[in-house]
Amino acid sequence: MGTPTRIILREDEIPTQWYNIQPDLPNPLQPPLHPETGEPIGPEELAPIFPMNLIEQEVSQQRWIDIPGPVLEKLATYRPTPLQRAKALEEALGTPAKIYYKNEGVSPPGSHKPNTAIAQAYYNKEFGIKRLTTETGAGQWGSALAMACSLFGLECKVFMVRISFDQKPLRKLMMQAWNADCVASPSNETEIGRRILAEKPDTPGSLGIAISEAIEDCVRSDDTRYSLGSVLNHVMLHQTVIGLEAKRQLEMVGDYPDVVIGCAGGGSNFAGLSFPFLYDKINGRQVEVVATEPTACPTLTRGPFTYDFGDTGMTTPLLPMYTLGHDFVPPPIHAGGLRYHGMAPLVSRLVRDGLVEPRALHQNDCYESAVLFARTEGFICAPETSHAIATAIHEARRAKEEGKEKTILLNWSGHGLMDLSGYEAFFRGDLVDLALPEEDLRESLKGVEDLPKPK
Amino acid sequence: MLEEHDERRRRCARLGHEVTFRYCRTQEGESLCTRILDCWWETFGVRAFLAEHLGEDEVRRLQEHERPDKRLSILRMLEEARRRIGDSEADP
Repeated sequence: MGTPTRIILREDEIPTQWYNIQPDLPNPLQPPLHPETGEPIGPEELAPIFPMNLIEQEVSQQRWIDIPGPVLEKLATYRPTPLQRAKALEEALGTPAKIYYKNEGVSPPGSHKPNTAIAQAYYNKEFGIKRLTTETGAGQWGSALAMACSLFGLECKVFMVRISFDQKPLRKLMMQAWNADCVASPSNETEIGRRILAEKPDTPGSLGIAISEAIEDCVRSDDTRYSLGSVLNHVMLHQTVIGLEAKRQLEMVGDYPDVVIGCAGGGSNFAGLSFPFLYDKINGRQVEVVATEPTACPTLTRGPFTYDFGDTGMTTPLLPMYTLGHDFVPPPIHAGGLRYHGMAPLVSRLVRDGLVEPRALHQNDCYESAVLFARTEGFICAPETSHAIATAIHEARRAKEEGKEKTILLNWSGHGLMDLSGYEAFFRGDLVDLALPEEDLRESLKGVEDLPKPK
Repeated sequence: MLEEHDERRRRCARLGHEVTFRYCRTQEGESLCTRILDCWWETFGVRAFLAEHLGEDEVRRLQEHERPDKRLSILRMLEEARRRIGDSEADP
């Protein structure tokens, strides 16, 4: 009998420690500087919004951090998650590659996000906090935190951007089922919300306003703190259970990945799968680690108007290649990372240090891949997850062309059952890739015209 | 016409669902979404469109906009929230 389709760990095999990559970074993470004082931001400045035990994790240099028993107990409601071999997808592609996916869609809210929501709820409760506030767009993070607060008996207040509140009523109901108080933002419950509503009663809101409301609500009360589901170091830390489990599951079948792939929005699901493998890479093991994102709104690769050109064909945005031909490879113009700041600092650091390769993909490619995955493996993925699937398919096809065996591991970060409108647009043929007019192209290339051209 | 592309739709990476172009150019009632160029460049000539209607300076400002570190954004919002609360308590 060959490799099993589902590789399952026992409940007592959930990792008991998180992996903190900070002490292993080739170049340490620099704290952000306070804009007024120019001094590094210290932990005490974050204390009004985060409990000190989480702030300590944020700056910790301890490589392995014990997962508290109550957190393990709650994680066990859906962990360990299965590692699955995509045999039908491999067959459809006719590839010699083996494709494994870590199925984080089995959690109650349907994504990886509870891995940190549960930990954050626990640490807040331990610190004496009674209530958490947060913001949410479509509701993935809001529902994960709502569930976690419910499990630990904390109150939860979610400010949901009004346009999302109106468009995603089912997520709102999920949060309600988990006992969270979910209100449309801007709301009448904060000063900033009231001011905005007074000026524009019909405003659809924005994520910026929702964050402002959540923070204002938090600072009004001593027993309330704010919670964030991406970007911060402790969020990345909590997600490493994904990769730690995956490593153990691959060991069970005597395998190890050649390529590890995750989609990178705020960075947390990518970090969760990849950091334990990056530990091996930093210690000399050969493994390729790829972070994928859309060509529209890229964070790690480059914006269309401020490209860092100059990596391989697969990773360079298609625009200049398509328009100017394959001989034209403009040089890097801001490799320091103008566009890196929307991403988790840890992930950005790893990209800059060359340990992680970012790739950008067009949306039609991603949806085609998601649909192929659904038709072969059965699971319908979240739109973000489709980027990882598309990259895995590229790798598998490349392995076929080269006639090489290859082991590919991707993070199947969440299901798309609450988010099917993107599929609808794809099926209607409404998604457009690359239709940039000449005048925009000329304008976008002005920034590089004075720089030396490669030979 | 400024409203020419308002009904175009695409997925917003920040919110996680579809939005219209109108939302991106008016989201907070007073300013464009700072990602508007990045998100719409594949769909139509958004740069030329915005330059025509809002002026070249506004578009350059958008292009040069650097996304702040999240921790700095949170601290800024924290300070603003404290100021608002202080104002509202001082103004019965």
